[in-house]
Amino acid sequence: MGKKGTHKIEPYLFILPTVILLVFILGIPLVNVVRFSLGKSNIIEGFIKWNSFGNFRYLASSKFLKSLGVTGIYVVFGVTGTVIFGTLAALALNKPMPLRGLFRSIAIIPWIVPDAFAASMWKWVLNSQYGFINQLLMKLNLISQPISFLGDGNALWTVIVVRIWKAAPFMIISLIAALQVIPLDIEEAADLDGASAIQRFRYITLPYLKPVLITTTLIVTAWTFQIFDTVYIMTAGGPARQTQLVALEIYNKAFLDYDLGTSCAIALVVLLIVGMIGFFKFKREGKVEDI
Amino acid sequence: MSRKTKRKLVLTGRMIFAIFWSAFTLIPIYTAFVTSLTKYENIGKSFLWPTDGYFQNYIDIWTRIDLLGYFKATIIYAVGTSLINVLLATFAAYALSRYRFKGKVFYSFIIFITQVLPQVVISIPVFMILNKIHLYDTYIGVILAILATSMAFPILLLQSFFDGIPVALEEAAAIDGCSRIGCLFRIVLPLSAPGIATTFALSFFTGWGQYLYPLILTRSADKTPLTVGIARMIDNQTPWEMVMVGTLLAIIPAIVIYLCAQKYLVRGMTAGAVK
Repeated sequence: MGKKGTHKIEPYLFILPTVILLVFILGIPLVNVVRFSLGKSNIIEGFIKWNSFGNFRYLASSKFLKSLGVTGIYVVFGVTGTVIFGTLAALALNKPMPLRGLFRSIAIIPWIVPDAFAASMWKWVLNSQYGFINQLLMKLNLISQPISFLGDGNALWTVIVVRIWKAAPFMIISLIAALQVIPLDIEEAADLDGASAIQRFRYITLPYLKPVLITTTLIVTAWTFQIFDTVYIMTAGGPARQTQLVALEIYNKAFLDYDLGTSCAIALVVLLIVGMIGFFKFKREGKVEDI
Repeated sequence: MSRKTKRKLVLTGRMIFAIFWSAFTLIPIYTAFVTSLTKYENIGKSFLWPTDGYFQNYIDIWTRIDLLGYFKATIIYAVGTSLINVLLATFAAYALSRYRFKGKVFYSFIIFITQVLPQVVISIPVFMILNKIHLYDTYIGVILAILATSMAFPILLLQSFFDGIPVALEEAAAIDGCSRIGCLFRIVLPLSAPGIATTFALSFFTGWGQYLYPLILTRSADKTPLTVGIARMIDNQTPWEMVMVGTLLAIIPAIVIYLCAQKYLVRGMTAGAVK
């Protein structure tokens, strides 16, 4: 079907609505990001005048490099934590056990909670005066002074934990689905041959999981790279820019500093990185390999 | 160690981790629940159990902030996003599933890449375009922006559903004189009803949780969704009991829908995101 000449136009009619939308809401904006990055620009007037790549000079400033470093730590630890804990949870919840259904349902809940509400709840849980965690630790006499989780030195690690909380369900769902396809008899045979649990994981489970682990890690990385909502609500980049992720940097430059040009220059860097991750994932999955 | 004790050890380990992980997952929600039932002056005194049982918070919230208005805007964004997403995705997924055409790889790549495009990068130029065409501070403006970064998932999801439906059914119908679009609506869509419902629900959640787009693309009170309205209460003197009531009211509908349709949603999510 659909190979004859008269059918040639049909597929294009089917994709036309999405193409129109893509042009207006993605194509033109992206072209504008490039244009604005090339000169002095602000959000009211748009492009004003050429400034000989002046916007890109900010990318070499210590301020931006620090923000890039913060983002690097956030992404590396956020993704690593998500992968490790997501894998552990998936392995724990894969095979039959008491209350497995309940544990699984609970484990996936953060996926349904929007970032903004994850932020409001965690911000309160970690409150330095009355937060649940501080109160609990004080009551158990584990600490004598409340910990300022969102304060100096701690904030970045705190938002990383919140990121893991939010992203792990995606990992768990994907990995449980992947674990289902491992033939039971292989594992049983290995078990009978005396392979330890760790050996079985290393030589049977892991090879099966590897493709899914790689693609999910790639996409979690791309998503973590652009997190805005949670960190903006929890810390707004503070204290002293210790959680100033590049996504917040883009927002602040455009809306607080009215420096759209620099904002777009940063955006281009982010697009480049995220685009490359996306390209790898696209190639790996070979979504359209039959063509 | 005998095999049996080893098995028991593994099971115990899994149990401990499952309990630890569930606790980690539920702490913020449980805390929100306890605080939502606590009187303002008792906040910080009772944190383990809702000793106050102060349901008045759930009544006061509606007058403290325009919660009803926030709900209305949120529902409009969520329903708008899911309706348009399902419609657009149906056509796009059908083309990807049933046709070979020039530019298909490129088109799939573009669709695919929208999954990872940062909202913050898109939102600024979209803000300026909407300003120019007088769609700033409108529902449709926000919905269009949401669609731009959320269209990939429904398309990939429906494509995987359509791929599972034998082409032979449509070929038989075509012989009986059914047009392509007729085939799509009379044969493929009814057979993919679970897929359509999943797509709708997942897009609904996407629209429900949007924060950055409404924050940047709207100004007036009646366009403010729950996310923005509740987060706005957080400042130096946050009324935490109110924030927690609002948060719970905002997430509970989503959690209930999820728990009811868990099986489909989880399966749909795996189909849409990971091959």
